[in-house]
Amino acid sequence: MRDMEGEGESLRVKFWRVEGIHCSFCESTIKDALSSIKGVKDFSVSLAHEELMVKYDPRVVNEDVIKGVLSGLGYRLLDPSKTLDLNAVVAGEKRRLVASILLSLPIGVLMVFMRLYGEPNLYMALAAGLLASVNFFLLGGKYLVMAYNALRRRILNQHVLMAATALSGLTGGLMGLLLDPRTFPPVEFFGVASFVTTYHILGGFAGAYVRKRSSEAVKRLLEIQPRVARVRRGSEWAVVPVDQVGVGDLVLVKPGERVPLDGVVVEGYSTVDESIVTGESMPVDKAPGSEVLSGSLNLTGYLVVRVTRRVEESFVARIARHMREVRALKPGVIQLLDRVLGFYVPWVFVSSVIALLAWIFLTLTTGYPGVKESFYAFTAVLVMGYPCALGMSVPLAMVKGGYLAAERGILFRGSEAFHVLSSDPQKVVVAFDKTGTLTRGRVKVARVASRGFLSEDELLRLASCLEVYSNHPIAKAIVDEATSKLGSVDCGSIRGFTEVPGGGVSGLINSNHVAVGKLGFLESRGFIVDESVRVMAEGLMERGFTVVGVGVGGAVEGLIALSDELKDDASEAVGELKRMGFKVAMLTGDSPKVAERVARELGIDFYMANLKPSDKTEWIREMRRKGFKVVMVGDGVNDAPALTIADVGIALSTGSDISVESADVVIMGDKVSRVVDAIRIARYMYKVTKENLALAFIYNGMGVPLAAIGLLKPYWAMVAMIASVTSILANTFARKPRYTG
Amino acid sequence: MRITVFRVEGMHCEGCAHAVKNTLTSLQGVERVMVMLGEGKVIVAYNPEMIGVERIADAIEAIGYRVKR
Repeated sequence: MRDMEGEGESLRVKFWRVEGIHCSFCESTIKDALSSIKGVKDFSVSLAHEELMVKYDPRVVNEDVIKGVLSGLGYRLLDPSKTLDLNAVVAGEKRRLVASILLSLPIGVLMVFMRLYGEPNLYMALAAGLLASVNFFLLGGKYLVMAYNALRRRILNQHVLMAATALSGLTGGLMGLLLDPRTFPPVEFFGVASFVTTYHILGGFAGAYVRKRSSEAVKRLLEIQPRVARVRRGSEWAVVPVDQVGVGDLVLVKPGERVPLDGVVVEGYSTVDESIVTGESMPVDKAPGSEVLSGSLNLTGYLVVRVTRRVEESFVARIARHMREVRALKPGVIQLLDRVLGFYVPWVFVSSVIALLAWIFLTLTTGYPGVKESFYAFTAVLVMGYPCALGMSVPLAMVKGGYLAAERGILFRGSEAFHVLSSDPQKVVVAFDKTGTLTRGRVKVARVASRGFLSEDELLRLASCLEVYSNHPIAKAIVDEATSKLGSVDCGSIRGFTEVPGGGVSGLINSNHVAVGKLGFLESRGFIVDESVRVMAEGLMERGFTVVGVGVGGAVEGLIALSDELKDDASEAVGELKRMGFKVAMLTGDSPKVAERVARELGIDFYMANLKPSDKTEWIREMRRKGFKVVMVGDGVNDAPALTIADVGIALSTGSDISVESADVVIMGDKVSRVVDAIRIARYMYKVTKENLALAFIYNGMGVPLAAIGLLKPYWAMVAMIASVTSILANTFARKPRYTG
Repeated sequence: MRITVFRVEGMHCEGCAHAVKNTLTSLQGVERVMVMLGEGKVIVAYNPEMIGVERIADAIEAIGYRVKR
């Protein structure tokens, strides 16, 4: 627990995991309940991650009160660090669903039989009643409890609607058995009760399944941090779990390994790839005194690191914690469904009561149609009320959208993306990470510049002859450029190769003294740096390039400028998004000079550089406060919190697992232009979703007033069910998708 | 010494890169091997008086990768 900073009053902020959230409507149930508690100042509920953040005044209210109120509604608040076995939950829901289907099917068969061969006998009706009761009370029992708890808080949600429909179905069936099977056809009433229960359980299963898939991000993040470290114990290196390593311990990191804990280098020289952790595009040279971060990849040499932070406080652990916070803070998108249900549920109840009162009034004044018939109208309205296709309408649209997207290598992980990406483009900011998203995330030779004595190809040739012996990423880039451009490179004889970590390489090529490296290194080796070369180098560095010099004989003859190369389709993607009316921004952990050059080349008007992961999330929050929706596109670990907090996170699958797990949309491969396709498909599918919802409600919606005036028998609820499911299927699958342009 | 780039198909993982690198490094006359996994390139620095392009390409194909010649 921690106190919120910058608050005048001393408010407390507490995070919990919520057990029992099953649908978008639960979110508003919890919101209503929390709003009614005195002392609760602010809160946010995350449906996808089952998490809750509450900001409260400890002088007015305490934890126990909040817990008590929510447990009364059927939601248990748990410590967020305790994990729930979601696999077990999904398996349990699946068993419940299968059992429920097995109970409902015989009633369906009985109903068909009855339609064909007339009146059922008493035993059939009894059997149907038994099956329906077992289904509802036993399998659907937990929803009955939730409905009861919600009612106590005067909240009308879909559990209440389901319970009302099923209970009136059971009551109607019972009336038929006891009083009058002609007014109250028992098998039909029991059938409605049973089917409604089964559909509701199906919804619960789908919810658990979706939740399981979207909850693995933090676990993955912690996997990039090694579990063991090689620690100096006495005179030996012992392999011990990272949580047993203390501050001040010495840790050995071999080339090719990830750094296990944050620390300072005390021995050794190496180049470390921090791109996945910080977003820095160029590998960073490390020497004694340099800081290294856990999770970064040691590339070239041995490093001995003095640990400065314990594992709980390490860079990766801090990002993981930060992510948990932003996940809880992400306000669930108010789904269309919630808004519709908000009107629909009360309307069904009011209709049934009006029907009952009107019919009783008629009976009292005219003696017709009778009390029994009045009560029939009441139950008939309620059994028509539950729109069974409701649970299918959104998932079906997602399945279709998912299929269209998958053909283009795009994966949608939730329905929120459809909603946000369909908003007015003027109010949406598409923010790109730079390294690995707009650029390839790999060093490449951008330019070779000669001071005039040697040709550029010759400079490249000489440089590659020495660099081929080095493991440095810059060396690889130079050799790659030379061989791609010149084909085979002939070097003659090479002797006396030496490499100075963090400086450069030198050696004799056909007895000529040649060196490649930083200008300071070349000077220290006796090469003269001409004023014209120095000016050229400064110019290139000013524009965000990394620069190495090539010394031949006694002077630096030219320069090689390197950069993280832009993706071929980056400019097309940015241009297309701007044409569609979106605002485009770039957020990067890299230096302002590099950021400026990339932004200019791509035509991005707004960029921010030197950002830490928490700066990115802060910027996104700021934009949201200003009323914008934010779409974040990224790939690295450092983007994960931003991808999570953004309204829609789009990750490139070439990045880290963690960013993929935190995203709502995943693009397979590294094509950034697919972001445009993803947005177009999302907009098309949102339209289909809206149509599906309308179709789900229209049949039952029309049925309710008809049942109220006594025109509909309960089996019409089944007809409505079939009609709505069929039309949703047709709308989703049997038409040609139009989403381009 | 000479540096030549080979375009190799079928190298899809770190393990493949290692296999190619180890095989080539063990050849007489090969001094350095760089594998660019993402682009399917193998860059080899070798002594042209001791070994030729054909022998290197054959060695890569012998362990199951195709070389575009």
